[in-house]
Amino acid sequence: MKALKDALSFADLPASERIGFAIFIIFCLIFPWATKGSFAQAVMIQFLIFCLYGLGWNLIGGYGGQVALGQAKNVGMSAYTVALFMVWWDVPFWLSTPVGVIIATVESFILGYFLFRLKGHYFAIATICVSLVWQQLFVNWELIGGARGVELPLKETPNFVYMQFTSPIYYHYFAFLLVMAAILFMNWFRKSRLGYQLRAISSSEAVAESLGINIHWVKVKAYCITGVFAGMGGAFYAVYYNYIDPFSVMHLELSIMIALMTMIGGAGSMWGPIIGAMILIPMDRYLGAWLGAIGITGVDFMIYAFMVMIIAAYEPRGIWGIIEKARRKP
Amino acid sequence: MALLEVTDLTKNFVGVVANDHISFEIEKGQIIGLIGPNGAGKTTLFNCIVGYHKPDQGTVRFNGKNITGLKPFQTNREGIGRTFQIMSISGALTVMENVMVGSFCRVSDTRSARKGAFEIMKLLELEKDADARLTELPIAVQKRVGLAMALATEPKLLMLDEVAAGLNPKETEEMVALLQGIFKAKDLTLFVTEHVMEVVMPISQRIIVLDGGQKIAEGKPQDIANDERVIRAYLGEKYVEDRKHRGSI
Repeated sequence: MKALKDALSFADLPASERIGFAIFIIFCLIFPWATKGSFAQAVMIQFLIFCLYGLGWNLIGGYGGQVALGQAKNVGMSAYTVALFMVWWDVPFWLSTPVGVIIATVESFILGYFLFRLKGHYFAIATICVSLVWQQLFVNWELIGGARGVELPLKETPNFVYMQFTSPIYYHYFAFLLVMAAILFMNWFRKSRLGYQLRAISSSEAVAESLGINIHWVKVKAYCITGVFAGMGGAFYAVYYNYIDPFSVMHLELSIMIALMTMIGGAGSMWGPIIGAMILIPMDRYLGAWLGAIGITGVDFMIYAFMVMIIAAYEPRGIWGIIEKARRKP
Repeated sequence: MALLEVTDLTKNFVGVVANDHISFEIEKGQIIGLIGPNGAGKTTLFNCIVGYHKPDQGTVRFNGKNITGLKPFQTNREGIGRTFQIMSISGALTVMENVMVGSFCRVSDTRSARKGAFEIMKLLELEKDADARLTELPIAVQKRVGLAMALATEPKLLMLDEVAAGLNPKETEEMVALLQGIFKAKDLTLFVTEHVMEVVMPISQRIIVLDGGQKIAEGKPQDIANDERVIRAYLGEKYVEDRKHRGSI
């Protein structure tokens, strides 16, 4: 009960943040009605999916300060579970999703348990290695589609049980609900014991240990929650696109994208991942489409990398860090 | 039964014996000083007791329980708090939040943690710095924050590592007064390392002296001040001869 109250209460935030959050909610609610463009709606849904990934990664990468570059494999495991369960046994979305999320979480637990013996760069490198192993496995594993990926069979009529709709509006609102749930969870988390302990660990492990914090266990717990977020995102991804392959949901590039997006927005802050997604996803998609149309590909990535460098040099805590800096000196 | 019992503790680093068969006891409710020149092994001894290092030999018993080789967070939960010589933490958390992290060692809900943190900050006169970042504060205040963080975990034994390092004489005096205050208020046992004699001499009931990894003396402050081996360790052979000549030892 207390936890629920904490999750729903934004009273400790400054008025400007609450107003910003309200505008975000209203914007997401009216967006599908305000625009008719299907490309814009698709970008919006991608934005929401990336919000979900980012909010999850922010836990371990932002608050916990552990550069874990393996979100994609958890996204992929859950997406594949949902897709394959449907292809093989015709299992509905609502039954396969819990299984997918559990698989993603258990993988996070096992991996975290062993990898968190490593610190700093070594941990980051280890997560990259594990991601590459999974990626290769999924590309070459013929039983689950290999590099061709998996196509989800379409039902004849729109179907809530299998989450198949003709209009993107349904997907939009479902993704929005997931993001809202994630935000409320983070709102509880930042005020919780786990939240404080995780931030203490990123501040200094030696000091955190002297304050009775079992740093290994706290990191593993946080990593599992990150896995849950990725798993939810992956399950949704599978039914939204109806097609998945190892390059879209299992790839290291996705993991890096999630981490960079959160860092640009502001790792370790409540709104950082959303700000990061808000800037990068539309820029990535529109710029990519626009530059692709006039025959220049790859420039969008250069602009994107350049932006990362500027922000990292100017304020390591990202855009949110810049906002906070401005706020602290009136 | 002694609160802390260290028996035959030995710690080797490659080629260096940092702690060489050290044994001592600390009774409940005492203030014990641990002194010695730089490199005598004071911090190593601290780290072996708290669990940052695993001793190669010997045992550490706390409150009747064998805690040898336990991790720092475990010894902290048993009731040993410690402060750091240099507390290198980032400014990610405010002073209040840092102290709350300490409180979370004993309570799990945020409201009680905040309440506990607030009480301790009041005791250490830190209320006005509650929202500051540690990195923005002068060193004397940082030391008090470190003390508040350790105290928030409700230790029975508080181990202070060079609590006066980097402080000027006036700040040192204030720190000593503060320590005596919390010692009385919190029913603590204190174990204080210093290489500055002025801090430990007036407050300690007993002093342990380390030199070159070995315990060279243990006793009342006034006896320690006149102990030949201690003077030799601190001031050198020549000074010992000098004082012998004048008949003061």
